[in-house]
Amino acid sequence: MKKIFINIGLTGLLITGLGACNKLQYTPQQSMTAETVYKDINGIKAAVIGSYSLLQGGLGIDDGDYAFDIISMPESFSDNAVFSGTFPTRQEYSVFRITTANLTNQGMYDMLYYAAVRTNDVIESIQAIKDMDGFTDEMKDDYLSQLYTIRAYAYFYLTCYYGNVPLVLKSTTSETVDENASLPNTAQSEIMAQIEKDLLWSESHIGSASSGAYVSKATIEAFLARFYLYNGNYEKAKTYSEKVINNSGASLDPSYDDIFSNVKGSPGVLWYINYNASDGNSIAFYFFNSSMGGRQEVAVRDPNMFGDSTSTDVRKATTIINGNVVFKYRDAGTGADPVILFRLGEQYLIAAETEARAGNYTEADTYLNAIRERAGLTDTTLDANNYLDIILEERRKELAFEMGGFRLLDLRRTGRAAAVLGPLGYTSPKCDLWPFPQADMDANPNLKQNTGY
Amino acid sequence: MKKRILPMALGFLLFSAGAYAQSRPIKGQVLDDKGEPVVGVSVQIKGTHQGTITDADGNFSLEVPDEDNTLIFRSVGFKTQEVQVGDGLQPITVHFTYTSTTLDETVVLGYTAVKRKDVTGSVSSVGAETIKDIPNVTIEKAMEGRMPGVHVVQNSGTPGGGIDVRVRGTSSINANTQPLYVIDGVPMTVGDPTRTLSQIDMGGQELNPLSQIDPNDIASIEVLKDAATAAMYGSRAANGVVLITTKSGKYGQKGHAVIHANVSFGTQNAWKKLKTLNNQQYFELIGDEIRNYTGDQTISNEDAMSMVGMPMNKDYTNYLDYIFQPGQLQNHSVDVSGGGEKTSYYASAGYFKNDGILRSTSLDRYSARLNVKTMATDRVTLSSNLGFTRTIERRVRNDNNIYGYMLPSLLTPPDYTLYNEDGTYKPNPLGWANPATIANSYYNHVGTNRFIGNVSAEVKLIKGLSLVSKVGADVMSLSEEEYDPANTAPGAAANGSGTVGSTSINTWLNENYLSFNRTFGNSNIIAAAGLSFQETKSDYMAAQAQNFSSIYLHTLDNASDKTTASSSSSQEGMRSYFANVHYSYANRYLISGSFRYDASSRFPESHKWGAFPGVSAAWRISNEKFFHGLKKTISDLKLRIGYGVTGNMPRILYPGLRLYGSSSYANAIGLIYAQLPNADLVWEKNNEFDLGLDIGFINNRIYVTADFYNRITPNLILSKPLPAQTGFPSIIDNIGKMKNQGVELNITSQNIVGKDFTWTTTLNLSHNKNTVEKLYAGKDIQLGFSGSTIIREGEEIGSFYGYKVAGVFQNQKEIDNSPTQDGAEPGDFKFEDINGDGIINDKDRAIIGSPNPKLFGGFGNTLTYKGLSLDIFCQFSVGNKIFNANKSYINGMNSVFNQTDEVLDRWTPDNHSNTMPRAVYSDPNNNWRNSSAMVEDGSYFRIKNVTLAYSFNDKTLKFSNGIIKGLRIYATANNLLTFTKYSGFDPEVNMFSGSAAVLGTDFGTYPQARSFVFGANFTF
Repeated sequence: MKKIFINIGLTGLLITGLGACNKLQYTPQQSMTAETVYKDINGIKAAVIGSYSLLQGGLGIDDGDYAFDIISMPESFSDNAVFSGTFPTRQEYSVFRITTANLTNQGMYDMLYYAAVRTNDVIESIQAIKDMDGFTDEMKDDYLSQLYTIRAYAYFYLTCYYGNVPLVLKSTTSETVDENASLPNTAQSEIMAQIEKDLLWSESHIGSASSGAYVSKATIEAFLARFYLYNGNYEKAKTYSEKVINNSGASLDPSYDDIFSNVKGSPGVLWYINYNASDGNSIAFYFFNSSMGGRQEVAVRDPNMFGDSTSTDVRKATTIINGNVVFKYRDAGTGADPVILFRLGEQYLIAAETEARAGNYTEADTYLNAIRERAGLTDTTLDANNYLDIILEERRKELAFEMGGFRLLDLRRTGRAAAVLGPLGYTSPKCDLWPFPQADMDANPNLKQNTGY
Repeated sequence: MKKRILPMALGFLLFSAGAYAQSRPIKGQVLDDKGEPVVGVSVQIKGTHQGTITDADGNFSLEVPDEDNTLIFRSVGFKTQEVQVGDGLQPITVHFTYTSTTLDETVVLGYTAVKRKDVTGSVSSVGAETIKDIPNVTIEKAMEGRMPGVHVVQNSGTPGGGIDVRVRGTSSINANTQPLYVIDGVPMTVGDPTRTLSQIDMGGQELNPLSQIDPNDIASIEVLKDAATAAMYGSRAANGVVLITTKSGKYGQKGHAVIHANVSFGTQNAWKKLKTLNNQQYFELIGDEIRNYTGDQTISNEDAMSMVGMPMNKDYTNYLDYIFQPGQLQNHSVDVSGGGEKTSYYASAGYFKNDGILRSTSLDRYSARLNVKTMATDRVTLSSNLGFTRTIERRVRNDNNIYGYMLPSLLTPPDYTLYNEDGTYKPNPLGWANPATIANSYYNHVGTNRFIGNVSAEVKLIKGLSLVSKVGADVMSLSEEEYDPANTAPGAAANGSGTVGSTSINTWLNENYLSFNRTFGNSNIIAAAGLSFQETKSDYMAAQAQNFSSIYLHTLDNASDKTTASSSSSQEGMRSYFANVHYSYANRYLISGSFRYDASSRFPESHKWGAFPGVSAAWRISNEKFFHGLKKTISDLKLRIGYGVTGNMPRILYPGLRLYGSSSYANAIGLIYAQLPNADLVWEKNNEFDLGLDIGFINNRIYVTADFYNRITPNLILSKPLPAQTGFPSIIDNIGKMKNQGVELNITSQNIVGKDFTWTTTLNLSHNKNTVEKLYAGKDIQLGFSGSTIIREGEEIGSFYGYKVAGVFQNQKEIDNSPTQDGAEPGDFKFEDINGDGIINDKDRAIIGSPNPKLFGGFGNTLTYKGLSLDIFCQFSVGNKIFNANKSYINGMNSVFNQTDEVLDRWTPDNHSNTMPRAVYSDPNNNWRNSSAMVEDGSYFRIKNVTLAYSFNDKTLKFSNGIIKGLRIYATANNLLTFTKYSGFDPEVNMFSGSAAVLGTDFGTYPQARSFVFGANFTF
């Protein structure tokens, strides 16, 4: 009997012993808690760099397709590109019939918001840091300037494509999730005002370092030039574009093709989104045709957009290959093509347009012909009657298939969209904005849908 | 001397009988061991075909020829008896003893085991006898169609591929929907809750870790269906529990081992093939598409082809014919079992091979097992169950994948060859895979090593009470390789692209509990109580490289660009206290109670522990005194009732923490805000009520089990959708509610029990009604193929969603008189204006079908005649729909894709089809948006398994001098015939393997095979 009781005792020990010894808590191996991130400078820096990675896409339903879509869908929604693939949601852009349920539309909308609002969390967390060893005010201002610019970029395209989007400036946490989720539409003017405020603050607080993969002072000024141009403030657009041209140290790449074959080494590139093999994009893969190892979801709509076969425009060979294949992105295998957000060529064209709008045709000619000469074209002379047609055509050719939807937004800001794109299916006012995704309409009852959807 | 006298006396009797009388009347009564009369017993004179059966009072009478002295008494449920009839007293009384019938078989309930007749809940079982003839790759197939309430769907025909098992419907949307599998007490890893096991994306299909169990080693599979019984496994039992017990040896075999050797060979083929268009039909189709697109009816086919940028070749390939091959099945196994006074053992080794019906797909399995039990001392029994398996799978991409077989084979224009004249691959004109490259150059290899085992000690403390201590492990390591060489479509751009991955998931388990089993007078108590501790660690590694030096060498050393390397790991644990009691009084009143208190590391600190109680009771009415009169007809009657709570965990490991995840940029370390936390998350709990009835007629020759259940899941863990303006797509929360109600019926009938001939029929029927009762703010959740599946309040989970097709517009007038539909022309689908606003748009989508069957089950017949037996097992499903996503491609008629021959019936001005629209390039009407045109009836009746077997008797085997003790040869046909209206390859399909809510969706899925297997079972 004694033995039995020993056994029972042992069992009891085993049971209570095991019960007590383990707290049943494991440290996450794949991620870290927010509290640990902002404990030291390395964590802060990593969070800032993380915000850049948000612009790469890769989150939510659009997954790795975001980079391709945000470049090619505005182009498909213009006379530059046409659907040639298998995804019906992409076809809807090409035929100007986007439905609210379109998941490509949702993918782009989501990704721009993820970049903006998750950056809010970094902004708030950095603003809250006080007295950390080695974390200087200059460092703090520099980081915040970069973060504001990233957020401004996301909001700028949200409002350009979707109009009166809700302006969310707080981070989403357990406490603010309900508030952020129910914010209604914000007037576009208010969003633009916030972008302007953020950019102007950043212009004066950004550090002096400059690297193409990150925001620099030149980036912010180039952004301001584009911002004012689109908002019709031509005087300021002129000021900022000329600031970039004259003061940034950037110079026009002598070879147009080098801009795209060597983005990171190009002297004229002001900010690009970096991709490498491990976080590659699918841009070239989706543009290339099957014999090039891709699946050509989107093709060049008018293979003669640079003129017929007698055209001397060197940009044609850089932009189009094999008839109708977009060739500005060339790494279909690893997807490591950088995506240019701002480059000097655009600033020349902004300067040309704003000088012309101010009546300074000679100055405008100088800027425009710098671009034309590089393209292998003869000089042209602008006047009050022809300048807008010529500059818009030059912008179309210079900036085709680049990030930013230049063609579509140019036609809209000049009121030409319905006339030029009407024959392809564009109708105003419906096509002047893309629809809010149905999922967002469902999740936020305070959101008002755009006209026509 | 006495021995001698008796035969002499008998001899005398025989002589005299022959001389003076032909026969004599023998009367008697058959009683069971309680003295109750037994009705319907077959009484037969040995060596003749003469006989009778007992009447309602167990009485019989028959004329027995004088030279015959032996009567054989047979009845289902009783031991067959031979009785010598001399000139003794009449009537004779035969005491019949019950055989160990299914009612006496032990049913394993986890930590306790009770006899089937004492089960108070709802438990279904399958034994080794049933398992052995199914050309099994995995154990789930053994359950398919044989257990009411257990719905088994093979998601695809991939050898060793995933199988979906749902016990009593679907009770979760975001958490797990598959049952908990426990093998010899060790919970099995069947996947990783947080991710897919395979690191190589093959399309919709996932690896199936259950294919690593050799079905030949299984003694029984028990499924605990009702929550009162399953509550023993608490927080993981929401979807039922499948308990697998492996075979063991028996004590007291006097050193005489039983050796079984099984060998079988089989062949497989696709039971159905689709037909695609030939060149002429294809050119005509493209011609029609372009003519209708341009409105110019004068365009020739040739011009149309050149307008879509395609040449018009003279070559022809039927790709579907190419990709299919006759599959092969091989199974070899040897097992040895035996036991002495103190030790028993079972050891086995097996090899299984299945070459799939698609080229270059296969599964090989090598398995070994050793189960040993030994009484180490008078008090201590040690036992171990150790199983080791290695599987090697070769898979191809399927489901939704243009680099797999199915889509390229169905859609590639037919006027191409697979090879150029110089023997190189001809690139697929669509840029997709050339099927020959998949068959010959694509390399995919998954090797899995799996050890599952446990070692335990049982120490007897006092009479009836023992302490059990068990240590178990499930160790799985999996290595994957994939290579797309430069001469294949996906490998071309990168000059060869290779991936390797390794996965290791290790689970350790320690359980210590007291076990009690004792009878006091009329009371019997079986109980267990103790503690369980479990920990799982998962590690993943993967690497990718490009730019290979050779198309033949796939290891990454042969690549010059190492593009990515990744690794991840996670860890989780559980701790549980449990107790379980079964009490029975006088074989009439049975009550069971269980309680489990579980803690999981997945929950925030304040919500870590959860309680899962279950209670059930049964009344064995047939054992009541007042029932005696009825007992001749109703031999068994038991009423069961139970209520229990079971749980389900979220799929993420740290839902309560605000997390930043790494996201590098430009080779710099980056972190992004990755998880919006919910610190208030708790388990999903099922509350289930079960009412059951077991009733046996005529000595249980007909036995019926019926169950009704009502299961409510009131706090479903759901992603609450957030607008993108929050920066997150959703937040995880307990917000939904779901209900499953159902009825299950199982009938076994021994129709004929003769001396040489027997016929048994089994039928099981299940009906489950699922209702999604509540979602976050009543908002739909859309999933599947571009939102083809919707989760909506008041509807069944998995419901299909889309437009309703009202027919085809026959003329312009009809279009003018219909609601506005952009792009519609005569020949296009006419969609219903469901909201009646006069415009066809997104708002006109509705529920267009459910993948859940109204009724499903199995129907089996076993006939035996002497050594010959025929087993026919059929399976059916009624009322389920399939979303055939293939249709928008194979019947799309809107691009350069080839199509199936269904499009030959397309609408033309001369052929006014009302079901198949016109061919038109780019489809301006968007005919092939998700709609009822893609929803098909998935009901089927399938002759699943037919086995004809012959067991040789001792006489025939005499030649072997006792070496061969038994020999059975058999032929089995699997999926012999299928009756279905479904137009795709197979009605048993789901491309979204592993999804809770997306069911019955077909898109480029590997089809099922029909197999014929021939085999032999030897006993030595």
